[in-house]
Amino acid sequence: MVTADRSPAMPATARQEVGQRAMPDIVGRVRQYPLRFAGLVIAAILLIASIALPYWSITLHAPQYPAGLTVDAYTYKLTGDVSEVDGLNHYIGMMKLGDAAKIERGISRVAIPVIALLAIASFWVRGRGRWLLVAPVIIYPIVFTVDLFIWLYYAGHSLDPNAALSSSIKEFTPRIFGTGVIGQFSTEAAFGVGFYLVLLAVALVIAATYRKRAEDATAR
Amino acid sequence: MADVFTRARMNRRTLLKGAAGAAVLAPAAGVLVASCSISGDDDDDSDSGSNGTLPASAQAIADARGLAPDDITRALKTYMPGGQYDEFFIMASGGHSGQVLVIGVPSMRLLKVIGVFTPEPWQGYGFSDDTKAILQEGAVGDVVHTWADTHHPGLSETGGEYDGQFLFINDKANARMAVIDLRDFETKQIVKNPHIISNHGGAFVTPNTEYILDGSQYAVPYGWEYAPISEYKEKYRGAMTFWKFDRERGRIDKEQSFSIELPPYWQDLADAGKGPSDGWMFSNSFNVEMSLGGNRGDGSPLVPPVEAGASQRDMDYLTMINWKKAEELFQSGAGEDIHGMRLIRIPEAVEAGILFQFPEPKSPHGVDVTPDGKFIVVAGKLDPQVTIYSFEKIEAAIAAGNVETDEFGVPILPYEACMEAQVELGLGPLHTQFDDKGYAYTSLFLDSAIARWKVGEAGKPDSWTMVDKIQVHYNVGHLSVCEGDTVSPKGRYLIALNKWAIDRFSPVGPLHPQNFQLIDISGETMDLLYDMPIGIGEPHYVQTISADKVKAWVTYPEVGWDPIAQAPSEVATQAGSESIERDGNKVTINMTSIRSHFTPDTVEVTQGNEIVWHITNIERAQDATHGFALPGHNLNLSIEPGETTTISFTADQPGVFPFYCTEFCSALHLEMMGYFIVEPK
Repeated sequence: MVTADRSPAMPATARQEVGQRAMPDIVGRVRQYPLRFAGLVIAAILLIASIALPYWSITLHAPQYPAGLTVDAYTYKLTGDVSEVDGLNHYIGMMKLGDAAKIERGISRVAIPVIALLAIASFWVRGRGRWLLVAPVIIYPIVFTVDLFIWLYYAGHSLDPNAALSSSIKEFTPRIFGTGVIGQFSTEAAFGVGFYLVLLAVALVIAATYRKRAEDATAR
Repeated sequence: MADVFTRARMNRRTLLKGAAGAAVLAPAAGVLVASCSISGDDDDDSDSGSNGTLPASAQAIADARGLAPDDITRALKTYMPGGQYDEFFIMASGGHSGQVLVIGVPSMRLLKVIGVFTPEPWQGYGFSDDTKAILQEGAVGDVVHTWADTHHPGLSETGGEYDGQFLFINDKANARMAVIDLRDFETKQIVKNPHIISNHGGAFVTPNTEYILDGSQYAVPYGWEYAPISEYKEKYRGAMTFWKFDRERGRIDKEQSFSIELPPYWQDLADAGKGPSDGWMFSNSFNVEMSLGGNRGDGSPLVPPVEAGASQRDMDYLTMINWKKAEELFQSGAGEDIHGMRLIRIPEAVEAGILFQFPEPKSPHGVDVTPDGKFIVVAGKLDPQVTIYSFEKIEAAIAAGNVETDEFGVPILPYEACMEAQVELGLGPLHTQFDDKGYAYTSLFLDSAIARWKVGEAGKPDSWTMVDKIQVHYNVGHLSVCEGDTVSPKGRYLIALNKWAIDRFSPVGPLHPQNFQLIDISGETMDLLYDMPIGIGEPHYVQTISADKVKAWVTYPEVGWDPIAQAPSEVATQAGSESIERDGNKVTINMTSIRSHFTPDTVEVTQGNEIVWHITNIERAQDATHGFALPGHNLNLSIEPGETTTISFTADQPGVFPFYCTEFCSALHLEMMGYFIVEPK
């Protein structure tokens, strides 16, 4: 088949016949819709690459921390001034950052490649079923954001009542985006490069999948 | 600019009243520029400085204090806003305090006082087990000495340049040498010289810090032994000790260190050769008269005291030793063991051709090798000139052979054969350092002045000339030019270390502060910028190093760090693994500290228990140091972020002892405490 494909002399009709005879016409479909295929592959690469980049960051500013304290959240780890922030949080009785979203961080490095491969696999699925395969990617940033919000809410609403500052700090939800104030700290939260790569991947996946519908209709 | 200022000075009142208008403050450039005539009128006073005038607020200060424009320039030259770092560090002897002072230049801000020979409570130095052990290692006989007459800080060198890694300092009173690690600015080792009792010719290092020089001051029978003073010439001796430095371990290696016996003259300052003279070291001596005073208070007629007796002859001797050959001699097994360290006797050293003397004008003090290593500058306290010797000529004199010896058998090279030039500078020349423009600077004690002179060329005696002189206040001892005793001096600033301050500061009782004066040497003429009082001792000497060469840690590299080993501690406690272990009579406490609590915070023991108390500061934030005070136990610790420290003692005093953090660490610092409860037996 490869040889046949590479032969410029073979007429288009002959090529179709050869393609139809192959069990799934894997390569032929790629040749037929190269842009869509490329879109899905690039989306998958972006998703997998996002694992190496922070999804969300929070920076705390206070006079005695002239350089600020920053925590970067990746899908599977927390980096930056985690222990220092934990040390400060103990005054208000907040849980340790490392105790939050343990399951999510545990599975992310497997789950993300899986949903990325499912999205690529959708390329060979005819009909609406393909949406099922790309759905995990499309809802992924929403799931991430909601999950993050839930954890922020939980952290701010499960303060240890015996903490030193429990009487002066009321329950609160740290801002997921933008600036907030807690004690002498002003906080700045923002989504990171990893999260924006995911959004880009979602856009690519939708574009690749959506266009396919009309084409499929004509193909049918 | 200088012209305008000169004119301005002549008519200062006019300038300050009216035309102060004349100056613009240019903070970014750090200079003051005079830009217009000095005949302005009073209306200009309200000027904000936007068009070439001093701002009115600054002018008001200048008026109130009677400052001349030059004073304002000087003020700006030393002004460093908070957060802006100095270009240089002064590593200063703390004199009698037994400490080292770290000062920034040009701001002259005191940055740190390092405990060295003296316990230092803030840093917990001399209170924790390991720092107690350092003071113990420097014990004299069986007695831990808690003061020192610190004289000469010596920075470690690589290729003849300061490398910013280690600092050494001697204790003149008891011939001790200390090692400070410049990663954490803490003392790591003190060694006691087993041969000599007092030193002066240290700490000076060889160009790659192979050895730290340690020359004796007053001759004695070696190692605290007795000999009547009538046997001075037979039994009393000087020595030059070569402390081997093991850079890898950051410690002096006593096993590889040795001394060379010297006649019972009093050795003074020393310096290692460099460039062509590398391999040799030079040490002044005085009192070749071997005058010993002798007024015993028994009614017999007075004899001249040492100060007169030791100044009778016109010449003393400069001692020179080939330390590279001495090392070979030592490694071949030469010398004899005296009090646990090898000493090579004079005949052996002379036979090997490694020990010479040559005459120098009487009562010399400083001996300083020029940056290119070609010349040796000797300043004689009682001679108005510095004498310059040529190393090339010295080598030729040695090669010529057939030299006379003194009564101890040490060869004396002919003065005329070694001398290159003399420069008359003034009264009481003591010490010389160099800049990057070919000038030398010599302190003049009696004149209370610094002389700047041109380092000349070989064979041209007239090329060695004095070019400038500046008054200092008062009685200057050592001086230091930025990296001015290395192979590549940096110039810029000179620090004059004045013994007397007299009227320079507000009176604070009969014991006056010492006075460090900062002098700008970057211009055509030297300019005095700033007086800094030192109220802690008489610092003899400082070295000035480019700040960027010193790579100091801001916290220890990891939690659970042993600052003595400079490695992870074997007894570190991490968060969550705190414990109190009881094993028979022994109680081991594994404690952590973090804002704002100790864990555990209640320690109950029984009278007579042997306590081993490890505390690890698990903080990672800069400056989050915790102290640890235990009342009734003469104890305060400083546990810096990451550090693990240990105290051991017997709980022989029953009672309740509230321990607490002594560094104001946090808003709940006062709550950072616990109870040490000792139940009576």
